Amino acid sequence: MSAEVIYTASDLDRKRREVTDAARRGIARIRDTDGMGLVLLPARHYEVLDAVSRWHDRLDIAERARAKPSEERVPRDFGDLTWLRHFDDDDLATFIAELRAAVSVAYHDDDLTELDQLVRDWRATAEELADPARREVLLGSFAAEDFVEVGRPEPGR
Amino acid sequence: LTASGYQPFRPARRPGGRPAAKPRYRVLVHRKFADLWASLPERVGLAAAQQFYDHVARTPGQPAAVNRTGVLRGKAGEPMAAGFSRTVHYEISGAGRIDYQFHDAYRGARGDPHPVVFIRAINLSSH
Repeated sequence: MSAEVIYTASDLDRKRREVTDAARRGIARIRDTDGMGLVLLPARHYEVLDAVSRWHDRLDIAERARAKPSEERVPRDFGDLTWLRHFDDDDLATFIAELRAAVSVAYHDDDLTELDQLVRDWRATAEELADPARREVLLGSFAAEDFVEVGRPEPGR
Repeated sequence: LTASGYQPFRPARRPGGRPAAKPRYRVLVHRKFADLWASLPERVGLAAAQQFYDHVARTPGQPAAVNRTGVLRGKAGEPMAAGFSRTVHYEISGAGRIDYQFHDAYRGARGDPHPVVFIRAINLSSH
């Protein structure tokens, strides 16, 4: 394992290519003139770290909200995920478990694609359940006689 | 030289004739959303409504060619009964969402197994 290089602030000018190459490989450590440590890293990696830490926090908040009796919960219990109020306890537990798994995958794969898709799907589900008519059908039991056949939409139909 | 039907520089005909244009899946909509279905062309445009119909009538299990699809999570996404897909969430427009499940060999009142799409919910109020 090679010794870790710590660049100086003036290296950003004198060794610009070397510093940015180190950052592109993962991380470049820089010591500013007052001794403060700085790091330069790929934006994509930073975005993963930022999202992972935010989701850890959000999931802890969701866990605490779920621990409260459902009749005592208010939207702000869910922090910035107020749409979680549309889920019952079972769905909240599933949401938390699935998101924890996806956050772990995002961190280790350095890729937010799966996490972003999962969040989009859960948020879309919450929007559908927010309406009483849709909620009743989506969470209700299946009865074939409740459905009617339709044709291809045509002008004037 | 003998007369022959073989013409080396003309492409051969597609075997089996023209592709079937007939929709493969029957499409059914929940009665609660029949009125919204009827208003689709007016609300999202005829082209988008037809695109959706063509998608579910032919390839309901594949990602849509134009619009975004996903699946509902949790209990709303679970199959309604054995053999059904999960609930697919189709974004028909910036303001429209349609949730459906499909079954490749549904035995309903007809008795014979046939492919069916059940539209469970229509949401034309998003965003």
